[in-house]
Amino acid sequence: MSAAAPCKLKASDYKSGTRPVWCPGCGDFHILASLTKAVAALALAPENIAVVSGIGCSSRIPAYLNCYGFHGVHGRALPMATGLKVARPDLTVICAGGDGDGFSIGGNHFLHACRRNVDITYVVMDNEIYGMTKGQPSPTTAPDWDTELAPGGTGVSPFHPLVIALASGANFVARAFSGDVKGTTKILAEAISHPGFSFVQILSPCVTYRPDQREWKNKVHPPPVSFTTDAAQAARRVMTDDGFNIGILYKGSRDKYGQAVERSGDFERDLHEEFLV
Amino acid sequence: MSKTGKNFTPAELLVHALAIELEAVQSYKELAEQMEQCANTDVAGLFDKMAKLEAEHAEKIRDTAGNMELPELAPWDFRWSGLEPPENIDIASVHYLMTPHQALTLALENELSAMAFFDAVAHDSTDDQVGLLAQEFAADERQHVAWMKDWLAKYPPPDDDWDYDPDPPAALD
Amino acid sequence: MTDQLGNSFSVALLGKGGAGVITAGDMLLAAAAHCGLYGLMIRVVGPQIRGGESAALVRLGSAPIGCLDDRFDVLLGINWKQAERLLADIAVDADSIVVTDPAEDDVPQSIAVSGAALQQLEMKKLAKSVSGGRVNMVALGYVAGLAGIPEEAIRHAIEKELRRKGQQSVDASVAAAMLGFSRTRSSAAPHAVNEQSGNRWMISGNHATGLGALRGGVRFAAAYPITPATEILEWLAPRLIDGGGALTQAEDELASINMAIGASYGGIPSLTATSGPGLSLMLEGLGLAVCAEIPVVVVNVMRAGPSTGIPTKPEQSDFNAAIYGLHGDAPHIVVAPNSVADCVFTTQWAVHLAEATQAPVIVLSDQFIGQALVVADPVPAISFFAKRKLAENIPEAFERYAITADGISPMPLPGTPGGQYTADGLEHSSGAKPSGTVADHYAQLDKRAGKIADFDYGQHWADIDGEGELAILTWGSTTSVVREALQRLPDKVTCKLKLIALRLLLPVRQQDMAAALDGVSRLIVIEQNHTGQLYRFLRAWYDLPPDVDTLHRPGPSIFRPGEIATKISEWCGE
Repeated sequence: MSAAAPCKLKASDYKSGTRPVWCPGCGDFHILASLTKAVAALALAPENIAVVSGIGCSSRIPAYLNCYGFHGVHGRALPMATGLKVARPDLTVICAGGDGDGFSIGGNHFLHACRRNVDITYVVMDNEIYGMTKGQPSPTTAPDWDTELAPGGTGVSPFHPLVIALASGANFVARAFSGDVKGTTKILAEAISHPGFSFVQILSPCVTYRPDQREWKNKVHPPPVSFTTDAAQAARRVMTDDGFNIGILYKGSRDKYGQAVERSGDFERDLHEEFLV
Repeated sequence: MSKTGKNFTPAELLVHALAIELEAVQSYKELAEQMEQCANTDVAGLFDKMAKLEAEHAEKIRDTAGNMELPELAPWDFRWSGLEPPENIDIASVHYLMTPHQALTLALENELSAMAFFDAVAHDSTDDQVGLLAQEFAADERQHVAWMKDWLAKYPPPDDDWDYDPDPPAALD
Repeated sequence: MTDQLGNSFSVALLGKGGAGVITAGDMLLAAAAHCGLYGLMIRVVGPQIRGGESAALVRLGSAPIGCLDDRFDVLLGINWKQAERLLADIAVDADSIVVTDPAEDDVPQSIAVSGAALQQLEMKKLAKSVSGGRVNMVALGYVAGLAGIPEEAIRHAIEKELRRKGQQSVDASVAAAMLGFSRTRSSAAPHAVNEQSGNRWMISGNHATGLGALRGGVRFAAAYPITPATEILEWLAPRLIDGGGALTQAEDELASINMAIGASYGGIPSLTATSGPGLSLMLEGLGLAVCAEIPVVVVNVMRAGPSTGIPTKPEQSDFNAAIYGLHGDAPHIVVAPNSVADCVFTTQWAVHLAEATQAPVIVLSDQFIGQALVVADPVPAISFFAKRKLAENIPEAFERYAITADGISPMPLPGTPGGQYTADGLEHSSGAKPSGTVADHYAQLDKRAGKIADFDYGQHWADIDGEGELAILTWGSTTSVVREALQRLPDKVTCKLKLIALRLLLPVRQQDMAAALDGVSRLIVIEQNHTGQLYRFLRAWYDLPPDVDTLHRPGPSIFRPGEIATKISEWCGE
C-alpha cells in the first residue's frame, strides 16, 4: 500500500466519468461504487492505484476509474498485475475481471498468483456466464444451465473459486455480493489492506443473460461464523459452503512475495571481470 | 449495531440523513447517465429531475446542520435497516427499456422507505432533538411521496411487451 | 598455427556420458585462451539426458573464430559407443589424426576408411594409474599437446575450473593431464603464454545477451525455461537482484510476456527470453505491447522448427514468425545479432529501441550463437542507455496517445498525478479512450507505424563489408560462416563482392538498402531455413537488382565455410 500522505477524496472522485458499457441493472455498477468507496475510505491517492484487467464486461472497469489502468488481453490480467507490482511495489495494484477471464483462460494464472502471494488484490465479478460474448457457460455455471453453445447444459461440474484460492495459498479469501454495497466496500477495503494475494469473489448478477440471478439478493446471507486465520479450518468450512455465504473466509499470514525492483539506476557491479580469461 | 438507529445522536442522524440524500443524488445521476447511454431519454430526464430534488434536500439538511460538527463515518459504519441506504434504487430493478411509470414507481418506493426510516427514528428515539429532526425529515419525505404520486398519475402503466427488444445484445469484445 | 584463420586448429572430443568430454573441451578452450589464442567451442549432444554420446567441438586460432571449420585436425574418442549419430558433424580426412583407446571399442567404420592417421592412447589405463585421475583429463593433455598448448596453460585451465572442488581434485586432474600431454608426438612448437591473454573474454552468446540487456537498462525479467534460452535467464537472475532489479519465474510463456509488459507499464525496462514454441505463445502479448505502446524486449534463441522441432540444434526459421506472426497491422522491431560478441551490442540496442519507440523488439539469436563459447576481445561498454519519453508535469487535457511529429507520445508512469489513463489493447483515441472510429484507427495505425519507420537507426541496421557489383546478403549466425568463406576465395573474386549482414530485420529500410545495393547487379541471399524466408521477405518489400539468387538450407547442421565458399565461387562464375 502507498506510503504517501493520506488523500481526502470522495468516492465519486475516483470515477473517470466515462460511461460504462454495462447493461443497466448490471451488478458491476454496484461493484464500481463499492471499489471507489473502499479506496476513498483508505485515502489512497488515485495516481498511486493501478487497476489491471483482461477481457469481458467486468474487465472494462479500469476505464471507469480515475486511476492508472491496463485493459490487457483475455485471461492475462494476473501476470500483468504481478509484473507491475514487482516492478513498482509502491503502487496499490488491483486486478479485476470476470469468471470467464479469471477461471477459464486465466485459470492457470489464478493458481500461480495464489501461490506466488504477490501483494495485489484480485476481484472477480462472478455472474456464472460469459456475458460479453453473449451467454456461453463459464467455469462457474451450473452443469444444467441451457445455452446455445451447450444445449441442455455442459454437464461439467463448476469450478469452486474459494476452494482453489485457499488450496493454492491465497492469503485472503472472501466472497461478496454486488447488491450489498456496504458489505462489499468493507471486504474490498480489508482485502486491499491485507498483505499478500487477496482474492474476492463478488457475485454480480447478469441482468441480460441470467435473469434468474435476481433471486441472489434473497439467497445471500452472512456466514454462520466469522473469518478464520487457520487454513485447515477454512478448508473445512468451505466444504459446506452453499455458494452464498457472504463475508471473509480466511485471512492468512504467509509472507508476501519477496522480490521487488528496488532501484532502476545504473548497474554498478563490474560484469567485465566475470568473463575475463 | 442498532437496526433502527434508536441510539442516534443529533449529529449522527444528520450524517445519516445527509448520506441518504447524497447517495440518492449519486444514484439518480448515474441512472440518468445509464438511461441516456441507452437513448431512453424520457426516463433519463426523470432521473435527472430526481437528482436535482435530492440535491435540494441535501442542501436543506446541510442548512439544518448549520455549524454542527458532523462525524466522519466509514461507509460500512452506517446503520441502515437493509443492505443499502433507504433511498437507493435497487439497481437490479432498472432496465434499459423501462418506462417513466416504472421509474417513478421505483422513486416512489424509495421515498416511502426513506419516510419509513425517519418515522422509525422519530418513534424510537429518546432524544427530543433527534425526535424533532426526524419528524422534520419524515415530513420532507412525505412531501416527496406526494409529488411522486402526482407525477406517476401523469404516466400510463407499461404495456405487457414493454421489455421486448427484437434485436439481440451486442458483443463488443 | 599462423595468423591466418585458414590455419586454425580444430579438435573434436567424443565420448559417452560420464566421460566428461564437454568439461575437457571447456578446459581446452580456457587453456588456449590463456596462451593468447582465440577460440570457439560448441557442444553436441545425443538424445539422452545422461549417458548418451556427446562431443565437444573446439576450434583455436590466432584470429577471432566465428564458426567451425569444414574438417577436424584431431578427433579423439574416449569411446565410440553410439558415435555414429554425431559423426555427421565431425569430418576427418587423410590429414587428420584420430586418437583411440585400445582398451575401448573399435573406431567406427566411417572413420576407419577416412584415411586419417590412427594414434593409440591408453586413456583408461593412464587415468587409473593416478589416484582420482579421469580419462577426460588424459585426453585433454594429449590434444592440448597436439595443439601446441604449453603445460603451464593446461595447468592453469584445470586449476581455474576445478579449484572449487578442492586441491586434491586439481592435483589428480593435472597429473592425469600431464600423462596425456607427455604422450604427445606432435612437433608443433608450443605457444608462449601470452601476456595479452588476460584481456580476453570467454563468453557464450546467451551470457553476452544477458550482459547486453543489463547494459541497456533492463531491471525486470520474466522467466520461463526453454532450451536453448534458459541460460540467459539463469545468468540474469542473481545479477538482476544484485543490481536492485528482479526476475520472476512465470508459470508459462503467456505469463512471462504479460509480466514483462506489466513491469514495463510501471516504467521499468523489461525483458524475457524464449525459443520458437515460446515465441508463438507470446505473439498475442506482443500485439498488446504494440497497441498499448509499451516497450518490451523478447529474445528468441531460435532452434530448428517447426513445433517442438530439434531443440538442441540451430536454424534461422523463426524469421517469418517474428516478422509476420502478430495479427492485425502490428508494426514492431526485429533485430538479430550476427556473432556471439554482437549479442552484447544488439541486445543493448534492442532495449534502447524498445524504450525509445515504446514498442516491442524481438531479438533473433539462435542456438549456435547462444550456446557457443568463444574466446573473444572484450566488448567495451558503450553509453547507449534506455531512454523513454516520459510525461512528468501533466498539463490539462493531456493525451497519452497524442499524435506527435515523431509518432512517440510521452508516457506517464503510474504514480504521476494527473496522468492517469488506461492502456489498452482496444483501438483508442489519442486521449486513450476505446474507439472504433475511422479517424482514430487510421490516426493510431499511422502513429504506431510512423514512429518505427521514421526512427533513426543510424549505421547499425547492417554491417557492410567490401564493395562490388556482386553482393551477399545474410543475417545472424550465418554471417560468420560467410565471412570466413570469403577469406578463402581468391582476391579477384572478393574484390567484386560486398557483404551485407543485416542486424535490423524490421522495419523495412528502403533507403538504406538502396544505398547499400547501389551499383550491385547480382545479389545472393544466404540463410539457414527450408523456405528462404528472408529471401521472400526481401523480394516482397525491397527493390532488388534484376538477378537475385538464394542459398538456403535448414538445420540441424550449421553452415560450414567450405560449402559456402564453393557455392559463392559457382555463383560468381569462377
